[in-house]
Amino acid sequence: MTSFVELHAQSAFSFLEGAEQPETIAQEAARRGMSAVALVDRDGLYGVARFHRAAVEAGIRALLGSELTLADGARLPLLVEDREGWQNLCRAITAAKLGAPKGRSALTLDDLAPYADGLVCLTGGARGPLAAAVRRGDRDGARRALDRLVGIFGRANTFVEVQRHFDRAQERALERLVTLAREARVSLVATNQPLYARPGGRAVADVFTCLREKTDLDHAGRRLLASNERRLRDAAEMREAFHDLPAAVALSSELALRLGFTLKDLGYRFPEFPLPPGSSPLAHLRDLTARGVRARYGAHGPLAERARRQVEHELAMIGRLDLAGYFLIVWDIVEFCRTHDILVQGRGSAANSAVCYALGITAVDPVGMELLFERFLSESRGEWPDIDLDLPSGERRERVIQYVYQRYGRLGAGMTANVISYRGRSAAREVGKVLGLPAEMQDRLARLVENWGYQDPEAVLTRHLHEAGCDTRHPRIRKFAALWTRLQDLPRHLGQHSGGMVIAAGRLDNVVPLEPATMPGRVVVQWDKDDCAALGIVKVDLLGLRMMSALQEAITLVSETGGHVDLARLPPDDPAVYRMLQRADTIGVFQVESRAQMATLPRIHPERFYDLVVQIAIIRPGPIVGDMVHPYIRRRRGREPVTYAHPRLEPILARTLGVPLFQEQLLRMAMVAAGFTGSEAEELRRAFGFKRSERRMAEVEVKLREGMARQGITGPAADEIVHQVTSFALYGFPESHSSSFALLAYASAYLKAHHGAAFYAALLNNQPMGFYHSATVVNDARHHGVRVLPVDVTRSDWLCTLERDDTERADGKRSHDPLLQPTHAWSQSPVRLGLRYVKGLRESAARALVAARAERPFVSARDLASRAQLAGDELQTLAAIGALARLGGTRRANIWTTAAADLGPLFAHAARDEATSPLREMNPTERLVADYAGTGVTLGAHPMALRRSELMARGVRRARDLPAGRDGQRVRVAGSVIVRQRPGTAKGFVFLSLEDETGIANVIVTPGLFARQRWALVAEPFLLAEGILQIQDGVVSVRAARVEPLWRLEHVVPSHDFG
Amino acid sequence: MVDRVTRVACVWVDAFGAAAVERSEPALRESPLAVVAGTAPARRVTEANAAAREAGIRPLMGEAEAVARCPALLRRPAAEETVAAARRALLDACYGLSPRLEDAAPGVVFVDIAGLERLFGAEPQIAERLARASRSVGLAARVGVAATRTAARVAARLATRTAVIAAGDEAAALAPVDVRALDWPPAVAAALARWGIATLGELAALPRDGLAARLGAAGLMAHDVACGRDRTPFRPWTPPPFWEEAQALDWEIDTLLALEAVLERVLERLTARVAAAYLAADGLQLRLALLSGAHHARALALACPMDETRPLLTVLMHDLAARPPQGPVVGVAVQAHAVPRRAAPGVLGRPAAPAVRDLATVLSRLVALVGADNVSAVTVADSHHADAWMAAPLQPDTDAVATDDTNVTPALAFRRLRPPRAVTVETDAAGRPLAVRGALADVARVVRCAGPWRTSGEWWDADRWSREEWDVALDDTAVVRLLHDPVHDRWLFEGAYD
Repeated sequence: MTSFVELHAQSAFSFLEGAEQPETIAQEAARRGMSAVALVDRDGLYGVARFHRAAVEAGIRALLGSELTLADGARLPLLVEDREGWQNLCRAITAAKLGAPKGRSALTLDDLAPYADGLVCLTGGARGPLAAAVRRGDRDGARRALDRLVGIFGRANTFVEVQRHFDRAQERALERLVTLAREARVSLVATNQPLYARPGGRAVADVFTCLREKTDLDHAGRRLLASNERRLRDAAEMREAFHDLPAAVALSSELALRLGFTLKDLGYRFPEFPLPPGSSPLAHLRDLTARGVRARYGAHGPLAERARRQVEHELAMIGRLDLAGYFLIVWDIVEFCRTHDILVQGRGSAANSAVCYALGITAVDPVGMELLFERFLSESRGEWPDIDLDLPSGERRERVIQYVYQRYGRLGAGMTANVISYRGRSAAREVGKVLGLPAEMQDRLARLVENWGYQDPEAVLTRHLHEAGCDTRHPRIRKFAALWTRLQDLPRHLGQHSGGMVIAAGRLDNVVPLEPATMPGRVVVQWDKDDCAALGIVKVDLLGLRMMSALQEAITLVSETGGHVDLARLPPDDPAVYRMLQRADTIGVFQVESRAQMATLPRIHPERFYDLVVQIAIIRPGPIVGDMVHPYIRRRRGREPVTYAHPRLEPILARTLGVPLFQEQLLRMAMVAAGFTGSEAEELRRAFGFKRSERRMAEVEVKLREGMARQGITGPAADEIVHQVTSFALYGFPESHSSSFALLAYASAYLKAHHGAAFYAALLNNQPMGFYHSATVVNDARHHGVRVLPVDVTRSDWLCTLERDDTERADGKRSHDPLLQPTHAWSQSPVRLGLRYVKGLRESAARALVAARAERPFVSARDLASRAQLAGDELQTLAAIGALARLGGTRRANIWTTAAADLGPLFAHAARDEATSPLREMNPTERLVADYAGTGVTLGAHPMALRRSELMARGVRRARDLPAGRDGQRVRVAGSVIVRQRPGTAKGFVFLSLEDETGIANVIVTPGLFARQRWALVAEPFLLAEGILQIQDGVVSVRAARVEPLWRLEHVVPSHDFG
Repeated sequence: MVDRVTRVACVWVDAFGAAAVERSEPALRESPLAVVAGTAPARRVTEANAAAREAGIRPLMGEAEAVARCPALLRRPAAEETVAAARRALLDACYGLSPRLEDAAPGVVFVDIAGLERLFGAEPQIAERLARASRSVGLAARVGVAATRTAARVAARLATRTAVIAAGDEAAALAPVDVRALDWPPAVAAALARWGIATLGELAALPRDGLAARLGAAGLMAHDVACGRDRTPFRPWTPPPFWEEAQALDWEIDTLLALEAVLERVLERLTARVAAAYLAADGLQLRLALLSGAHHARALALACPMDETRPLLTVLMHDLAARPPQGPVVGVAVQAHAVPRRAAPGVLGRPAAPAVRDLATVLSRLVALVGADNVSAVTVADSHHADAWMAAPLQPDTDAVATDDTNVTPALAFRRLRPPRAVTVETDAAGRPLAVRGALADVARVVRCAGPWRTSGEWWDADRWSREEWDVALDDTAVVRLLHDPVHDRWLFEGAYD
């Protein structure tokens, strides 16, 4: 019986064309009895890693190739025969991608000639290089094209591809192709070029056609598929379809046997790190680590001894896994940062490694904190360890990326891809559009599906769509449900991962095709980070973190004002820092500034560094969903005894008072309670992790229970442990990660407490970041006695700066809180707002202004206008925010003057002749509006202060006065809404932060109230809330019974909404 | 040069786009209504009526926000025709009081009322008459009267219904007016806000040179508005020519033959006027006054613009024959909708098209027979379905449909049966036809067959279809095409090859 192998399957990685995941093609091919199947996606090898894995699992061979788009629009399928062919294909795709603008191809057949070795060429289907000539009946043209392919690839490697989709026109072409192949003595091979493998796939392919062609199903006409024949056919179907050409079917499986390349034979080589003469990577790593251990732990003492033992343990494993070179490469990047004054800190599971700590890659002491190394590296996993480096975002991070390119070659390194897939909302919108549903219904469906999650089509149809008021008997609504479900997770296009970089010895484009990134000077590989990891390609995540930029800038500002801060040597238990944290005075502090964190800080009452590690980890979905937060807080406050599900868990959970909070604890629990090895425990975590599958979870749970039973743990204790482990694995935060973040949180809190001016200046220079807008940061600075000075064209630089001049005061007020007083004289320097805060002012113009000022000071607004070459609107904005005040004149007078500044010489006299401005000066409200409009912040009175007497008459309390109230008392608060939040874990409750001139009041809105006054709560900038005052463990909030919109300013006050 | 209009009324309709919609759908008047433009999700409110504004709906507001604020909000897309009709209606209404008008903008009409006192009374009465006249055409206008158009316009905007500014009081009357109550060009509005100018009085007090230096011509214009001064000439509006010819009859006509003679004379006059202006009629409105006092009115769209009497007469007579007036006729009026005349050059190599008049005659007969909605052209639809067609408006001058099917080698001629005939087909296990009953012969055995040629489509709708075509040679020497419809599981005989 003739067997058949499909040699031209296309997955959804032929973006907006193929309609199946690569895994599905492999599984279906195996189910239909094929021994192999070839994935030949358009212009890329995007799906091959997943395809390869799925094929191995399904027990078939994955044949690889790609269909290259040529300059004339024809598409040429190429199949990989051996490693040379793979390298040639990767390089050909890279050349095509890097040589033409996105979406176009400049590749000709002649360009392909150097890449032909190791590749097998098919002549393609309806869009192949022969198709047009054959359709025209141009025998000579078709013959010339075929001869050209034979000339490039060789007769033995060129096959005339025949397809039969039961189409009259195709049948005529088929006859001509058969004749042509016989005349040219080229073999025929049958394919079906499937776009899908399961029933219903044709509909998805048609939807993609519409999306690609920007039309809908009613207007797509003959651009849609003509029939259901572009499916994955099995051997019997192909034999029947090609009953007159059995050899063409038989040849497919013969050819498949020739295609021996698999991704196991990728040829990826890890870059070799330059070593001192006579040294090996492991020996060099051992030297560096030993030096680091001495520096970190000293030469003697029990901790140093433990550290040395741990490092030995780790180095032994690193040696066995042959990973020394990898650690050296990461160390090299960190060293580059260090020598170029770029803050760097490893995060993630690397913080569990004493080697990483000794090498300076991470900053958390894993030995002192007893972190679990197996979470980082395991012999059984067979994967590269994952080291993420946090860097200051922006220019400094880019320098590090460019260093990697320079070090390993432009084609030796690349960013990993990020596959953008269809999700609930995007799928609903696109399917609705393609089905031609009314715009209103599209909107409604797109909003609805957000809450659906993964459902089977029937559930979507019968329950959700019906509830949404859609007529589920309507065929298009039924199709919507089916298509929406089917589109979930199908890839849509390729993006760039935020920081993942892969590197290779030699050329990376021998291993994987490269594409240009949107950002100049960068290239992206066609695989995402999971694919790279699975194929054993080294990856380093270089992540930009604005807080790192802020810390770096703050430290620089401190040193410029004569101080000195070394993040590595901060006093570990600074009382001012902990007092600040205990009071939830954390605006601007990394990771603990959110409303939810602030509501927990006074309860947890951090007193040492580990409390901060807990604090960061506890406000996460895992502990919240797993109901760990309240037990921990009760135990922390001594209101509940510390107990353990089983005595054996005590050493693991003692630090967190018997409540599991970290992923590492989960692993240790499995190891101790069920006798799992480190690797098995990690396997458990993955089984319950993001890519969870019911089958794997069930298997692991059985294993866990069996293990516990062997240890004698059964009954309720076993149930509790299973509950804790399983509910936690998905969202639990790694202790190592939390520790790394806690270091940054501590550092930012330290700077806020002791070097407020530098801290706030740096924070303002790195906006937007964190949780609050600049206006709130400025208000917080002023509450802490840091004077913030307005933008001034005679003083301001582009960035915010510290000024030594102490003569000017913005508001003349200082904080009287002794805890918040700055501790160093120079930290009293005022912060001068930079020109970057002037809306609409170009950076180049601002820098030109600063340069002109450096030549000689401006003497008047007109002098500024003529020398700084600012545009009219820029000058007007500067005048409106009072930035010209030092040049004389009021805001309005300067507005009037500068409005005539760009007159031509013919009319200039008219303006010059004006002695005074005819405009009335701004009142405080107008100044406020001008400030918000011009800079987004105001240094004048808070909007609420301007109406305070009116508010007091209505019984409204100031935020600062709330703690003095009585729990349960009815109160009114009012303020500008700076935060609106509706967390998924809060069962519909909404949390508002209302800011007034004294601080922030937290308001809790019940779902019922939100439903009644939704619009006011969502859109009004100033609100008055009336309700019950709640004071618990120092946390103050108002549970609103009623809200009322207050006035509106003419300019929007910024807020952080539902982020 | 500014002409010397001494007293002028401004007739102003707030939110004219919304008012125009209310005029065409009076049932909407009491409901909050917004006119929206753009495509979702970026659709925005362009105008809102008073009820909607009370609910907080403002122009430029996103549609989603507007609906959230006012769930009962009715929305209508902006429609140029509705606004144009309302604009014309407002002008017509004002034209009844004064022949000297200026059509300043949609919903803004200036009326020269100098000398109207003798006819209509004092200025407040004139203003009231104008307001009533506007209401009579379905538009709730406010009317302001002043010595200048600028002042009158401001007065109208601030009036609840009518307002009169006495001569010489313009500056004083305008001074307290909030500048935000008026529409300014964006640059002027931004400058006024930045300068803190709150009232027209403050704006008027600014130095004129200074304004010119800062805002250019727009600044001067703004200053004029604030001072209530007119700087532009009054541009009188004249109604467009009215292409109508009418004939009052001294006797009653009760036969179509007699009516045709009258209509012919009326049409001759009308076509002469239309043709003299290099125009042609692409629509006619016939209005017959009946002895009973009723009217017989017909509106007829023409297949193509015409300026000849005969075909127009034929069209009218066919229509009258199909729908005769219900009683004797005592007056005839025909109105033409005139459009520019089109040249229609012939095309070499194409058969001569039928004369316009012949085509029009045929069409009018068809329309008379089956109704206007049932006359259209059939075109081939873009579909894989072999029989897909669609109705399209008839365009006599349309070029022949181009075909790109030049590669198809002429083969057998195929005679199609329309509609195909149901047949009984015996098939083998694979679904291949073996014998056909009821095609050309009673029973025929299949000697050879080719196929199936499969197509399917419209899977997303109730009209889902699927076809499997088989070309079969029968033992009676006929070669026919059979069609299997898997959706309904039936066989059809679609035609035979010659």
